Amino acid sequence: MKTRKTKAPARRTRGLKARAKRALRWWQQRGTEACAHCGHTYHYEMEYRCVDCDRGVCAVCAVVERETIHCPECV
Amino acid sequence: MAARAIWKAEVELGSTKVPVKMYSAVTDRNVRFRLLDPETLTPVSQRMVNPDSGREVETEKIERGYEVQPGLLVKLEEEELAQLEPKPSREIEIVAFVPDTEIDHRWYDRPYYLGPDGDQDAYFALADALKKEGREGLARWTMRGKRYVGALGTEGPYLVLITLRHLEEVVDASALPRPQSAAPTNAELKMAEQLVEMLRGSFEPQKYRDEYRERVMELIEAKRKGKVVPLKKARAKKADDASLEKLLAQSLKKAGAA
Amino acid sequence: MSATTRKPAKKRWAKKPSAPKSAATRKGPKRANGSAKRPATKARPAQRPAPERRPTEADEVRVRPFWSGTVTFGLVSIPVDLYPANRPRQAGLRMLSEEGTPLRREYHNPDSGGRIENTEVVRGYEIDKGEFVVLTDEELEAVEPERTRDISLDAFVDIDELDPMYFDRAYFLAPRENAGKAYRLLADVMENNDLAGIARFVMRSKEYLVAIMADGGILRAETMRFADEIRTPEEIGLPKPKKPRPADVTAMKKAIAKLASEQLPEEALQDEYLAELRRIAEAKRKRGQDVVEVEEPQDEEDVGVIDLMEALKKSMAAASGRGARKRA
Repeated sequence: MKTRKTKAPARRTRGLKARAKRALRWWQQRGTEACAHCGHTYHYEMEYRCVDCDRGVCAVCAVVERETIHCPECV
Repeated sequence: MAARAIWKAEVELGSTKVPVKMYSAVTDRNVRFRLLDPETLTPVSQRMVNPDSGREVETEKIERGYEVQPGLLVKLEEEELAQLEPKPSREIEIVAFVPDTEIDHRWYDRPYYLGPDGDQDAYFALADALKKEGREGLARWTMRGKRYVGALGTEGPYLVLITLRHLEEVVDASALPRPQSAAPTNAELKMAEQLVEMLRGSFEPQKYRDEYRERVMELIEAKRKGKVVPLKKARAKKADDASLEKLLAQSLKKAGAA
Repeated sequence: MSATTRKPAKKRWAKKPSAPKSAATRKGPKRANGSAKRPATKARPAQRPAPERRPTEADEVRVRPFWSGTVTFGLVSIPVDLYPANRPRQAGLRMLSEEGTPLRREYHNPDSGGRIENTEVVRGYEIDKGEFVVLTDEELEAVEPERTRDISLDAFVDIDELDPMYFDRAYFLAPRENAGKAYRLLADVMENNDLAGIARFVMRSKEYLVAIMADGGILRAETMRFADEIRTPEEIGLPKPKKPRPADVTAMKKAIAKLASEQLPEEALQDEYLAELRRIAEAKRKRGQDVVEVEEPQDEEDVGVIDLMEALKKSMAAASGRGARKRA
């Protein structure tokens, strides 16, 4: 079963260059820290800390308002 | 600007209890990036997808499992997972008081300040006693369903609690092979020591500012205004063929002249 | 810069870092299978549109250092690779479908629902509500190109002066190319004099203040928090200190004495949650209950989640001698 994809460029070659282009950046990788809310992992430098409970959450779960960060539970 | 306490608890040393409030001792000043859709520039959302069907699995239907060995998972039911949940409590239990040089700093993870919560006498007495005895408490507590271990110490007249890493989370250098190389000559050693001595000073943390983060904010401002910022590339470091001894001598000369 | 910037406290430094006893002999996180990396298995046809795997990456236990650069002091340069000295907390539970298939995280556009490939996601900064400025890795590196490649030690301090509260994470430095001698020189000098070298460098779009120390001939960089990242008691709003009553202090001393121990009880540093989890899972496995076999093609994302010890040992051993193996 194919997944619905939204991708602009079609996959062209399988050569080294194309592979290199598709290589994941560090912040796209799985990483070592786990999000306290969703459990997904990310690299330390992409961590968001909730100002109220000080737990680390991932960039997707973090609720960002102005300059403060909250986790979904403390919002 | 008073901060909001993260948690309220009681430090428990045997039968003595000291009520405290916990505060984070660090503030994150990072420039925070969000993950965006490259075409619409909106923050992404995430879904858990079954790779076999390609379909999303709703949060309620997600099962949990533990990988007992690669390729072998054991599914765990709700009730079994509930068993793992530590009992909620408001106690910071002190297991032992060890000399404050005993716990290696490499196991220190994140620092928190403990402030008094009502009983200021007991609080400052504990901090004072700890300081005078030169000890740190090994503490255990449960916060928001997670178990923590930490070191209870002092910072001036106040109590601090630093979470500790698990034993295996720190790799000790003694477990690694020492990089082999030719031993430095006496002359090299002497010059290196001299050089280091010239660069020696006392540690002043206020001297160091995070300039990178400021520059990134400037870059963001520039891009926001629509300015095109030329990319600077690092100057390739040309390999210095000069001998180690010569480099040291030159460094000394330079440092002496400075 | 606030007037109430914290002054580093002295004293609570272990004179001779005494690691918890068994740490030195610890082999690494105990995995049921030992330290072998999961071998790549054949991708099932039409399973998912995974990018083509690079066979070399999947089969070899080779971790690329996530940062490479040069440590300098004076005019001496030491090319090095950086590896983490902290093992990540062991993975706990994995998310599965009802049949037990490990689920995959996918990014989607919240409005259209369209899928976004991991490799296509971009990073941006929110300038106004809902408005973002995209920043590429190249642009971020160009902000301070020197610091992203060099660690220049401009000061040496007594290790005792460093307050452990400042420390964050640690990394090992492995010498590259022909840096062995210079590396050893720096390590020897610092170790003989109980010194740490202070420097700043940029890694993963973040500037770090580091203290580099030698430990048995191996250099270790410990990142430190900047002064403005540590809050002072005044900033937090802690009450002004009160001089405690001597009787209270004596009572506390008695309570402390009752729990005094000269050595750290190491069991306290075990991951209890994981031990329990493993126990329950193993018991179920023995009963043959809810066991699922999975075949997963090696994920590109998994680079980095490999046995750290293996990687470190290899990098240190490879660095020995001249003409270290060229890293692909």
